[in-house]
Amino acid sequence: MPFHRQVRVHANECLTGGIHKIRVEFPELAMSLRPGQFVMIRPSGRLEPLLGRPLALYETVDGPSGMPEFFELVYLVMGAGTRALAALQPGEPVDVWGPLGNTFPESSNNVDLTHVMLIAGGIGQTPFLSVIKSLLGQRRYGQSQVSVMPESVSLIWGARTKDALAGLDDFQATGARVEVATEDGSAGHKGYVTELADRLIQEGPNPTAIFSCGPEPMLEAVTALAKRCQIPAWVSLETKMACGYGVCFSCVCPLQDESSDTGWDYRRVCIEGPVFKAENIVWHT
Amino acid sequence: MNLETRLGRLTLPNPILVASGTFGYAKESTGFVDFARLGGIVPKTVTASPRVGNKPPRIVETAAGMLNSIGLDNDGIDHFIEHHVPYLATLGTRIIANVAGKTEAEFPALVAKLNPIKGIHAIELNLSCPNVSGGIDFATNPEVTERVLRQCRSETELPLLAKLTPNVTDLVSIAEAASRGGADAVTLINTVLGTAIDWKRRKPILSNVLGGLSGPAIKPIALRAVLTVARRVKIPIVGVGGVCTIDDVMEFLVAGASAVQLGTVSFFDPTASMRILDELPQAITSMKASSVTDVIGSVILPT
Repeated sequence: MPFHRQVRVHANECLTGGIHKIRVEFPELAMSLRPGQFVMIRPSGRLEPLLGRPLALYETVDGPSGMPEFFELVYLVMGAGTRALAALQPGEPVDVWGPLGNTFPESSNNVDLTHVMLIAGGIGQTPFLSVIKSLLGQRRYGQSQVSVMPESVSLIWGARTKDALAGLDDFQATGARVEVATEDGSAGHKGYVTELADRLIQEGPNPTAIFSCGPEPMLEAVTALAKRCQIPAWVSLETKMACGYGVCFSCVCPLQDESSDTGWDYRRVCIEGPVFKAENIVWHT
Repeated sequence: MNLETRLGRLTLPNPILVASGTFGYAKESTGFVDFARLGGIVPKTVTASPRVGNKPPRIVETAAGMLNSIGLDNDGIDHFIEHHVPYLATLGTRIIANVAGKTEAEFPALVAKLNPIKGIHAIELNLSCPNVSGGIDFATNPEVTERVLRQCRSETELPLLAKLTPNVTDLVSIAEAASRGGADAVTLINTVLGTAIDWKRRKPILSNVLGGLSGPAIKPIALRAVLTVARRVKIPIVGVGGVCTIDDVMEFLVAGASAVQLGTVSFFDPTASMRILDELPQAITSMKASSVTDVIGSVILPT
């Protein structure tokens, strides 16, 4: 069951240039959010910006009760919506609804999670902190339970420049293998994240599953890489959303559909995604 | 407190409806909305054949509003009847199916298909979607509007609502035509045509170039449509366009709407309908009225 409430900003800070982290107090939601899911958030009581912004769960935080009472969202200031979020002070009200969307595969029932490779591009690292902690059994989210702990979890994260790798230490602190690529060479591999991922796959161990989040051209490249290496892959999409819960039909993405004349049909990213099996996405219609 | 209101042969327990295209097929709002409390639900428009809809981007945020060009993305009437109506019929509220024809002849055919279906309490004709390729806007012409209504009327005894576009010179003549054709009520207004430009790239933002403006930005336009039509046309009016709060609801009722539809507000305030229903009795009482019907059209205009 989703929640919709006016709640308070607990903290809101700039991590590095343009990338911010907001902490919101909302115990019911903090207790039910799962890695890969998102919430819609907007400053309360304003008609501008009008619409909420979809942001992935970054991390949940326990309160004095020892139970999750807060959740954190990390976002890049891009336009009017994120600018308004970045200007919020602790104590100010925000409207929040969620939990929304699906998750990456969580159980080893249907998916081999022995060696999981996470490939992030730009601000696409945000869902992966909780994914890593959940896979490694370091934290519990909602009702999710990881049945078998993977032998390895690695995060391959690419960005334009070093400054865009905000919160890198959060990921390093999990003990997961973290490798970075920057287009300008200011940190890690110089070049695209997919080049680095390709090299690491060849070095082994061969990933049994790839989860990816980032800009669409990168996700398309990851899909091609995964296909070439015959590794099952899931990608989390980001599209323009008005509602986040399936009523507006704005956020659609073309997915293979054999019942359709064209072989594909639009699906709502908010409720059928944001995570899709990479091979089912039609990148060009 | 009597919240009941009538739209011709359709009686609603209260005047709060949710608008087509802003509430999906209801299931999506589970947990946000207690459906049984609503006056009724108008599900997303269905067409004779499935429509894939427009290419994204389909929306753009604007000042106190948004433009959309979804393009009537839907799986067709047969799928609607088979998959959505059985669920909608369980919700304990009035279901006002919304249909759009690509041609004049498709409207009565769609109505005829819905007529025998259990669980449909009324039909709203979307005569005015601005986003359908082909661009035939039936409700820009009084003769066409009357003819479509007449043909639909001959197919059903169910209450018929005609949803009209504000993108016309003389809305009153169109509303009169709908009334002559046998509409039980007119729904005013559909979205207002608009566009948005990315000047740096010299490109329209919407893939469809044009879209329909909705949200608080269009409330004065909708309110004016209701006020004007209410004084000239006898059939009831359902007001829609930027209704977000109890104050908005009361403004539309006073202007002459017998019911209202909440539209874009559901996108950014998913529980708005429940809050408005909580506040409605008190708002009626504050006018020293004891029923919704006491309030409808009670506006005092300068003489």
